[in-house]
Amino acid sequence: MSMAIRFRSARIQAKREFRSTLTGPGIYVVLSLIFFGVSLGYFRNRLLEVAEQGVINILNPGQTPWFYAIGLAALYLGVCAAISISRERDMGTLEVLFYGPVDSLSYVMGKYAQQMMAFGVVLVFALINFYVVNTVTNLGMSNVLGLVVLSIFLTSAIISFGILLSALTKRMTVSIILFLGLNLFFFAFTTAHLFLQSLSAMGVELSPVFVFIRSLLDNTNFIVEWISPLSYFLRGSRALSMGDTGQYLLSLLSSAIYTVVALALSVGAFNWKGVRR
Amino acid sequence: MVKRLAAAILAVMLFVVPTALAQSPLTPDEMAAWDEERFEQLSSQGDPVKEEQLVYSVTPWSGPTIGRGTIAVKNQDTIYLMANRTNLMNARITDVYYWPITKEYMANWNEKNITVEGSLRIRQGNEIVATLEPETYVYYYRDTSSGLAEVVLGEEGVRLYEEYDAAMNEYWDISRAYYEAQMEHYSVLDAILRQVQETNEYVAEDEVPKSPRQPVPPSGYVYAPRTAFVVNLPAGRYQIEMVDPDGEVIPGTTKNLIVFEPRRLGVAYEVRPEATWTKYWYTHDPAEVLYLEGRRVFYLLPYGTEEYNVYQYNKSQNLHQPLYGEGLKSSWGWVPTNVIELDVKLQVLRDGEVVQEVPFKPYYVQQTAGFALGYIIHEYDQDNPIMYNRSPSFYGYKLDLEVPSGSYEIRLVDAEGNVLPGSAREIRSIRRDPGVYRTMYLVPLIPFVLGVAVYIRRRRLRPRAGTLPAA
Repeated sequence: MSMAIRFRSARIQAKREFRSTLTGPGIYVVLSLIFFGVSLGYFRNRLLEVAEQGVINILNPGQTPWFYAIGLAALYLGVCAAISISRERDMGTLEVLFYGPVDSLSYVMGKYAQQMMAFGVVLVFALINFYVVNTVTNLGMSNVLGLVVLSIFLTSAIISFGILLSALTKRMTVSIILFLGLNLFFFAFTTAHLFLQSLSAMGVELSPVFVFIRSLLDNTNFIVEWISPLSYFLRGSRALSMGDTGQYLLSLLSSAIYTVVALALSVGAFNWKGVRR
Repeated sequence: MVKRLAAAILAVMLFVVPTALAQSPLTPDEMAAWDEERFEQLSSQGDPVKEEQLVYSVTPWSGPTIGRGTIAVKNQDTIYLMANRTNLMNARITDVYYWPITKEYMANWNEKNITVEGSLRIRQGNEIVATLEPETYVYYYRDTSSGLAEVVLGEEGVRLYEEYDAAMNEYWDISRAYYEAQMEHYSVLDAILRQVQETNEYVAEDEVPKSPRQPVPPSGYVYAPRTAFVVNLPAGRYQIEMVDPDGEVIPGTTKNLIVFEPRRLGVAYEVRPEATWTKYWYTHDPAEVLYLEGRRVFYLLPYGTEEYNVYQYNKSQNLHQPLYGEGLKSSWGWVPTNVIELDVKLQVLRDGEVVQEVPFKPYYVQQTAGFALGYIIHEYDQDNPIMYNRSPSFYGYKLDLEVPSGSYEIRLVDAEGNVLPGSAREIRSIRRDPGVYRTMYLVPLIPFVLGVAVYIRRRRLRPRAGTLPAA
């Protein structure tokens, strides 16, 4: 099959499913819930903290809520990608689709493009929400463009990870559990690692058991940070706040490589496992 | 499929866990030493077993204050030091024991402290980088009230100590004379008082002798000169060893030396809000934003800072605590290096324009009268009776700001008008009126409202049963 046909096929699939995403209530409800949660859990607490202390300092004030909002939205899109592939395989429509001018590559490209287009909608709403909230509270946000670009690459990595897992698994439930479970593990791992490290900065003396756990996490982190898409974002946002353009571009490049590798593996998985139920 | 996945996860865990364990805080030898010590401690209870060891006593550079130093005992094969700084080191024989309460190795310096004579050779592979001889040094406190100290080497250090010693001797002589004069003064006053009581006639104020002026001790302090190897190297991995006068390596003195440098340089501010002047905190990173509620008065004291790997920094300062810094290899932290010189001004900018220049000044905190807690912060003036014979409570740049919208920027500029790198910070005031909270909670509903509209429109466009055109 020629590449032109593949692209056309992928474009048609992506447009059709993107239209379906736009006309469904799911993405809107999820975004509202995420933004509301961030307002309640982050912005409100920061305002209360400033009011209580009078003067405080916050490192990268805009980045943390943006990371939570975009991370959760990307997770939702990753789940959608995993569900749609597994469901089509479950229902047998995938097999029917492959009798037409669709092959593994065009199918994976179509799915990926559709979710990335949906992320465009997420970005528009996120920018509106964060602009208004940061302006009315005067909390402000810096490096917006850098964060937006970084978010596109983070989402791209998460979506391709979701597509890979659903290509590897035949059951929808398994792919969802696996996708959410692994992302939850990565998030919990990163949180625990950063938390135990922050305790030392606060001067908290840890017992030998916790020092051992911290050591274990720190050493394991060297492996996890190459698997977890969240780590790519964290590295990029750290580079952004340090003004380190080289590291920032490197994090974008590594996210792009992550995406390409995950999508290539997905295509391979489709070819290997077939598209039948 | 699930079985295959479980097998894959198991395989990853089998790879990950041993890798992580292989890099656990203690090497097998250290583990064995640890167990041995624990066994011995169990038998000797509160009196730990001491072992004579050849150790390196290290006083690493630790910023504008003098650190307490550390020791590299025999089972620690790597010493960490900061690059391009004055680090002091000595090889000594002493009794070493492990103190479980604070989980650290300790040296019994008071009972055994034998200097190992020789030179310190520093190598990189087979190449000898330097062979150091002991140098004289002193710790010099320019002003004891600040607690800031520096290491002064060689003749200059000896000169400072001699000057300080002479100044102290002079001070004791003047003090002695002062106390004698004061005793004399009291006896004169007693005589005048007796005369007043007997005659019932007041003595004119100008006839009462003035009390002698109390001498002021030297403001600085200099420790007596001592000797040590001064290790000041560029970043890199080295090996060190002591060599005797015949050029032979002294057994047990070979160790690895990791000299590390900062990732970033910057300016930290000690921030003292006027409302909580004793509860000050620091802002280190230029990416940090200062937030105020309404109009706030606060004081900033700038420091030069450097960002180091936390593991390497902790190991350089606390090598005697084996667990200290473990698990922090991927963590970075700021270390104060020096107090910024006084001829630096703080500028406040609004939309890129300088709107205020704040000078560096001393301040004095006066407790308010009465039982209730309270204080007033005055600009220090030694002629003011409230502050007579008292020192300033702190120094800093006073900022009195309110940011109704947008933000201010602060930065430090030197005498030539150059901005100090890393000194810029953004300052914002938050808004907290009920309208802000309402907007904060309502704006997230925009996607939901749009979703409902899209859903209703789609339902309307959907053909109803019986309305489809006949085929």
